[in-house]
Amino acid sequence: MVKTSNLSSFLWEDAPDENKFSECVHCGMCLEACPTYQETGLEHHSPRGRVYLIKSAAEGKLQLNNYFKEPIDSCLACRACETACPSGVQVGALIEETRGQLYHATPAKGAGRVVQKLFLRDIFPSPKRMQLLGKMTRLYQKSGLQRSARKLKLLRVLPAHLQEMEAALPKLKTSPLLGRGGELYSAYGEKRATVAMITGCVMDVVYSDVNEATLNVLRRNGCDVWIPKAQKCCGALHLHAGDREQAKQLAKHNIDVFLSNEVDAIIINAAGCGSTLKEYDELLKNDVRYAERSHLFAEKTKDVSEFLVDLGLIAPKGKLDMKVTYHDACHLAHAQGIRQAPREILEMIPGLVVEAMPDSDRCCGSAGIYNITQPEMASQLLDRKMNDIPSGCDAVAMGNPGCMMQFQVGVVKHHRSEQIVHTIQLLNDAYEREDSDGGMPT
Amino acid sequence: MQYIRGALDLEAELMELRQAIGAEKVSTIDQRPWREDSYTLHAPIRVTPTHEDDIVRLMLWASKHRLTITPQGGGTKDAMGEPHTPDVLLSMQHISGIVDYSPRDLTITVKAGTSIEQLQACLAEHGQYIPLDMPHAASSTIGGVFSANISGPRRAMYGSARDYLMAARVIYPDGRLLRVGAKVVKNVAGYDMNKLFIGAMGTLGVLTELTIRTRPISISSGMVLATASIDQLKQLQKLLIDSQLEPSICEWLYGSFEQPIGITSQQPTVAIGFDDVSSAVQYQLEEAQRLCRACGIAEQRTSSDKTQVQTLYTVLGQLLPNAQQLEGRSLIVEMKLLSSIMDVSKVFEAVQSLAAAREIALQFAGGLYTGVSRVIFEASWEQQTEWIELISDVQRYMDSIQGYGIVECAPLSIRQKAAVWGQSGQNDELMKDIKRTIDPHHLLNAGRFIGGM
Amino acid sequence: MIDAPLDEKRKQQMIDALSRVVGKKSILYRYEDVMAYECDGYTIHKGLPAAVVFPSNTEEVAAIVSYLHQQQIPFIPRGAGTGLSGGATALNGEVIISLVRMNKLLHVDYDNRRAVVQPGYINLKLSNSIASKGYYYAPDPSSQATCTIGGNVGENAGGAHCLKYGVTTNHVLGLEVVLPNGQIRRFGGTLDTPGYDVLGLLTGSEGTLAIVTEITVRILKKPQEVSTVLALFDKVTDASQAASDIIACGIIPAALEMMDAMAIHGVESGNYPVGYPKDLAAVLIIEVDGIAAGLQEQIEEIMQVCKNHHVREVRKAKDAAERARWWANRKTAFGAMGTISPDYLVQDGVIPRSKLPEVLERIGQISKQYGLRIANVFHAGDGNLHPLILFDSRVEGETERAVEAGSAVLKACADAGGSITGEHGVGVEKMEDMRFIFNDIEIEAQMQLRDVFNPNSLCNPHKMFPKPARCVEMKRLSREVPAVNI
Repeated sequence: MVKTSNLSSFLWEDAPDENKFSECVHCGMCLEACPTYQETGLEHHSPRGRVYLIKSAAEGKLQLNNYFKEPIDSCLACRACETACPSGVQVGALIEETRGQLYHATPAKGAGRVVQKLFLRDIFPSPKRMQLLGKMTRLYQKSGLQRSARKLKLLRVLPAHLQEMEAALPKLKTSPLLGRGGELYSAYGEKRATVAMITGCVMDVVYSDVNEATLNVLRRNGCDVWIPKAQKCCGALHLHAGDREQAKQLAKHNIDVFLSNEVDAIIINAAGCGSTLKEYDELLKNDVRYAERSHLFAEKTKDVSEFLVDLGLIAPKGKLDMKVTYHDACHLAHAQGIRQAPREILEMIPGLVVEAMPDSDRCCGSAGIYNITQPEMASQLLDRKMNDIPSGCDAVAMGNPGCMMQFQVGVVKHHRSEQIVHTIQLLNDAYEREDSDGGMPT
Repeated sequence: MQYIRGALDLEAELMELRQAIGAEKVSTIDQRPWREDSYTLHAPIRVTPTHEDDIVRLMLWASKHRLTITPQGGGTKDAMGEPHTPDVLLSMQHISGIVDYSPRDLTITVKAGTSIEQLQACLAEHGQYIPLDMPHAASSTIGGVFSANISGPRRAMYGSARDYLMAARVIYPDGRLLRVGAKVVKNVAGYDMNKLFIGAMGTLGVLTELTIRTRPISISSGMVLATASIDQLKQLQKLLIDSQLEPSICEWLYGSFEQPIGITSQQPTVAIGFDDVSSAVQYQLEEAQRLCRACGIAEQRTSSDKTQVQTLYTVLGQLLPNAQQLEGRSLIVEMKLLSSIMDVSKVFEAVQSLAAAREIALQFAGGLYTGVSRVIFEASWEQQTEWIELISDVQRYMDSIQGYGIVECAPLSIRQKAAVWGQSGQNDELMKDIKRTIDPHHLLNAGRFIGGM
Repeated sequence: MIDAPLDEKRKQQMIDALSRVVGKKSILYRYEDVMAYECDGYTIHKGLPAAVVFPSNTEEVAAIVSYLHQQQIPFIPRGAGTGLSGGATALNGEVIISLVRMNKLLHVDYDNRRAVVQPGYINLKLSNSIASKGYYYAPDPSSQATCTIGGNVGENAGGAHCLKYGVTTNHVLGLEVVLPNGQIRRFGGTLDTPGYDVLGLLTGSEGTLAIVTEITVRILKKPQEVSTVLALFDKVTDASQAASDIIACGIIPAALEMMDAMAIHGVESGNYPVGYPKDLAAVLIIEVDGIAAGLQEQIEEIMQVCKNHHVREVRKAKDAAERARWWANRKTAFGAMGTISPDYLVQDGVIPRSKLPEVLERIGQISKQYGLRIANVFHAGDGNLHPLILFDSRVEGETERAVEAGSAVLKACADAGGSITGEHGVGVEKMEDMRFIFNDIEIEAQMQLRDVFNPNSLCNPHKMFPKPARCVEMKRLSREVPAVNI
């Protein structure tokens, strides 16, 4: 007879799933895969330790207080442990579920609460407001305000890590893709597939040029692309912060929007969003109305690199005389198991020299909003990451905007010169070079 | 010098022992003087048990009367350790024979007094052997080899006694019979007690039975002998250590090896031997020759004749003197010199110059993959005082390179004056605590081991 | 020695004192913070430590130990906590001294083929960091990606490749330790240092004799070539006969591993499947290494032996990637059991390899008798069995049944002339099972030796030796201490 615990400290909906934590046999294979354990050597800041704490809370041995919260918060949700785990314990999902419980048990207070509410409830869920934030930033940069602020050292009032981020903020060149033009773009040449594209919030505001590149690359590979204007934030950041309710709202909205038309795939170029989108079925598992559709949605969602390689990438002919290295975004490598596809794309670009980065799949410390909530750890991890970049590289490629921002901070902080790019941007550059070279291989 | 106690003083006690184990196993020699030039051990009472039980009774008897006991195998290591004067010499020669041999498991269990010759012959029938170089096979016993931690040139590949002992039966001085280890190749149940008795010179207990790993005799063997200058040898050693070759022996030899292996040059010679399937031996011989040439070593001889190579192995393994065969010869001192691998050449140079200054001849064999070297000094008896200086100079040198110099064989007169085990160390107290715990009355090999234990 | 948990006042004093040694950031004592230290890789017995301290050098270890020794507060050294016998579990509220922050590679001396590491240095990191020069560290426990070399020394860890290369004790050249009274001592340095082989005694002493603070290990040149063969069998007996025959015919493979049907089911459901056929009874992984020129000959002979025993399919790994896949699958076998069972108990018996078929049959009977599934993963080459007893701790009485079945398996190994543990150690798990292979006198002799180093058993108390042996201890006490008339 199975003993059921009535003592669980998890009192709210979507409690951490017993089947998930009982799969952990405490072997410890995950320890050295975990960036926070590597830094601290603390068992409760390791995946095994965190799962053990979650299990203990489920057994009523621990209360959901701030001491319990600390190691749960310190998790990067990078899921490197899931790659290392022999029995496939879903640590990431357990952490998200636990954060959901903590969201209720230990609500954020004071300034933290204001910021959380502002960003998670008001700005991110609304594409309009995100675009507005982008406009304001562009204005801040273009008007000379940024220069004055820097000159007057006004920024000193900000915490150190925010200063670093401000300094590293890329020049926002173009306006978000979602805000302009139409919804439909047709394939160049012979049509091979119909896809929908998710523009992402951060990606579209900060790196709209990556979205442009993605659109262009998809069209060049024979895709009709549909960019529904009604789409919203995927909810990843809400999940990380434990705001499951808001995340579910967003998920349901996006499912409704994207499944309203027949497409072969739903394309995302941001790894962090991708892994959340692919797990909508897990998020909505207790919602019978969405069970089937969330599953369908998750199946259709593809990372752009994965999709292109599966489709059969049309080899670019333009030559890029560059040396690059590739960083595995956690949510691409560990959460989605995509390691080969981006590398294959890079290998296909003529002239490009790709040098391997040691421990390329160790988290850079970005991890959603981790670099804002846990600046100290994030900065330690960033320093290690910067030291791992092989010397003499012109660029570092990756597949996630969060990582790109974090690397940007690192490059500035460490006075380095590498360009930080999305894998697709290099591919797009190669296509454009091909055009300017008149299609002739060099 | 006389025995401290003669057998005659112990007549009453002896009666008791004879009754306990049988009169035929007890013999006495009274008032035999110790000779200073002696390499062998003597005691007024000699006990030759035929059964483990006899030893238990002997121990109970000895602890009751506080009599000291020294176990002895073939006596080839009689001249090792601090001089000591036991009351009883316990001969293990009749505790002999194969107890269990499972060729499929590569393990054999033998009684401690079994001769090496008998043991290897039994193994050879199944194409196996124990790859420790155990010299003087006819007389030395397996118990003696493990108690003295004998090793030779094949250690480069095969390791030493501590890598082979799986289990043993031991009798403590208070008569307790213990089984240590387990008769399987891997075991971590409890402490690794086997290790305690290896090289302990029988100061903790009497080994009566040993279970040892065996190995298949390799299909093919070959050897390169190259004569070279010291600088060439140093260079060669570096190349070898950094190569993927897997030599079974790699020894640096100097001295009078002429007859057995035909080294005539006064320069040192390196012997590099390989055991493997023939294609791998052939490849390695060629590689070794190439490395020699790369160091400018021209003079090389190679043999891949298995019998010939085995003979070479045996000759090199026989370097350790047999205490039983030294009486009446010139003065011989053998030392075991322990250093890091790369220091072997330095050790050689230091020892050579120290000996040359005193016009003392030497033979040297240094393990280029192990850091275990042996030097045998030979000279006339007249130079006794210089001997003590030489030994302490060698030890001081070894000390300066964080190594050790142990006198493994020397006549009594030398051992009385030299520091046989080298300088006392930080850990001596702990070692003494171990001894006290197991042998509180210092009955076994009293005074023979480090720090006069 | 204080055996009862410390009272609050003394605990606070201790925390203050230890904080002065290591700093406030390097000690944990709050309930929530020490909860994760309740057990290591063995989860059946648990206990909360009074505190966990993180020294960063030998002197800090010595200072911590000196203080605890002076206060007679018991303590336990701990590495990564991947041990499988509960050796690092604080059963009675001991203080855990965690060595994970002493995690540096201090020195690599290629010329002398040795490296010096701190105890918290990760096993695999050593091989990785010397790989570019063509060297590696041979002992390779399955947990090598996370376990520490200090822990390996404590347990005398083995691994898949110890068949040819030996276990940890064959690779330790020197140790620096802190004795349970706080003194710092060094052993080894060269081979055969004069005196008793304390180095050998300390290796595998499960933290009951001293705390290792620095280790000098032997490093080896990577073999010129490695070749791996996978052999799939329809009968377990065929596989175990083949394993035994490979050794018997004179080949000493670098590794010779076996998994039975249940184990294959587990690894194939896990994170690193190879794609073994579903109806397979057993698989052998046989690896030979050494001089390239000689390997083909050995591979052919191995394949022939497998064919003699009705192998269904036998083939050589086509490249390093395929070999790595086979090994990842094998090395994560224990953890993968989580996919087919919420809990497992792994045993570690050793038998003479010629007895493999009969002992495996006996294990099958035990499985039926206790109504629990048993998966077998083992180092067939050296007869080291790892039966994984699958159970669900949430089911009333199943944990107890699993423990009993485990004991029965060990009894079977002991009866076959083997040992109760080949590489996992005794810890808390197998204390009672020590009686299967040692009698009171033999156990007492080992405890006497412990007392030389660790007289009050402050360092990792209540481990390794069976409880009733305390009556021997009591007897000894009464012998030494004059009786008091009441």
